[in-house]
Amino acid sequence: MLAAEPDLRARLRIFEQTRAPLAEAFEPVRRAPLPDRLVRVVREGGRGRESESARRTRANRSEAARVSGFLARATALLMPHGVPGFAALATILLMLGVGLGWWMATGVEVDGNAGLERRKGDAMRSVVALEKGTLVARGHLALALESVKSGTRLVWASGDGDKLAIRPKLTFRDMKGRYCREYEMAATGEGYFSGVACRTGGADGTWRLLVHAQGMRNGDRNVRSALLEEARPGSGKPAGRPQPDPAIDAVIEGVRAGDPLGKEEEARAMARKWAVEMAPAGER
Amino acid sequence: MNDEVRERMIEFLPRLRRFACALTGNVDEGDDLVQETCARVLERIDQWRPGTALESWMFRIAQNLWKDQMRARKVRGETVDVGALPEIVGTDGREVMDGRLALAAVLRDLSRLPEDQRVLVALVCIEGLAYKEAAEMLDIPIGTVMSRLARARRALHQTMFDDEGGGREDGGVKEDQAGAGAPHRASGRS
Repeated sequence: MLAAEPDLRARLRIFEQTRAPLAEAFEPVRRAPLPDRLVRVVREGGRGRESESARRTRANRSEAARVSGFLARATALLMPHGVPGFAALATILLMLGVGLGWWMATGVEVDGNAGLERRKGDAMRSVVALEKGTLVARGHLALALESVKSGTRLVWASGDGDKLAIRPKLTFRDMKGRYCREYEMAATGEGYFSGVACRTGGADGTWRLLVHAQGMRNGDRNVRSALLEEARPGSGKPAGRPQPDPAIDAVIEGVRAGDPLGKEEEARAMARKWAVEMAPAGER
Repeated sequence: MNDEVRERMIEFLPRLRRFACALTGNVDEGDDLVQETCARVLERIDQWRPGTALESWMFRIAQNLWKDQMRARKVRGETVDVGALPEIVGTDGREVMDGRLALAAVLRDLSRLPEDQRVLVALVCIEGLAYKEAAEMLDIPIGTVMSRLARARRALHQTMFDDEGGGREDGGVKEDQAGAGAPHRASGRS
């Protein structure tokens, strides 16, 4: 009967030939030992923390829509709720400016336009250092990662008009629970970079760079100039849309443990100096 | 809620992991989805009527969460082409075994299917649900289940077998097959 129905027979062949590889390929996943975190969430989840976890999921979800995408961020910059952030940022810049010898806090403005006297070409080199074989964030980059909320652009300008701009893009946690942040950066004459850094160590810990890549693609030029020249909030138009960088995406996908942190969550983590809570169930 | 339910959930975790891995195309992301699913299930456990299938309810929640995530990613303009990140299995520097390669290859093939088809392949071909169960879970007619699955199988078969010359190992899947939803109909012949 089947022989009389070539079409049906072909379908059956397709059916049989696709089934086995599919089922077999996934066997290792089914047989693999269960990760502790999954067993833990089932054993301990829902015991009086329902609302918190529900809230977090919701917050993450709405945050996810907000946190990434250049246009979304640019819009967020123009939103009134950003203003307290800028004020706080200015304070941070002023406070830190006192502590760092080379810092010339000549003019802190909204969105962080701070005058800075640097030798040309130093900007990029001075934000990344090699420490015991690992790249770590230094200077402006360390400052931005440590104390600036995602979506806020920091711009430093030297006396002769050269600029360095850094913007943390989003915060997430890696598999070990550490906080990691994606950022982008541009400097006059030095191109556009983006990267991912994870916070290690305690209160005076460092941001280790997982990736710090120079953008080479079409469109990065626009993003770069947008990052450097973008008009101040209130007067400007959002410019350019960064193309997702496969290298950065791959790194994030490789280490990421969850959705990007929500705004409040990020602020809390920042306030705690990015300390990693011991128990995931730690916060009420 | 009693601990019996929790143990039942844990017993089900291996299959839920497999399902989530098939959806997300990635073991780790799949585990994130499983974790989120379990949290959600526990939050709403009072909505579950003992006697009904806890397991299909968990599948359904996982599936819904995943769809939400995919939607959110699209809104964010993130790369949704999961096919671009197939190395997740075995990036940890340990020796890559054949099984991992096979899984990576299948995940890559799956990731090229449209979401609707991927869910069905995961439910029916991998988890072994009946068409009727899948139709109920997804709230779609059984005819739709069958036609979607047929399309998915044809697309999968093409990437698995028609790509001659051992292209399998290096994942040599042709770019133009990304739109796996396109019907390659053999109709009109009998």
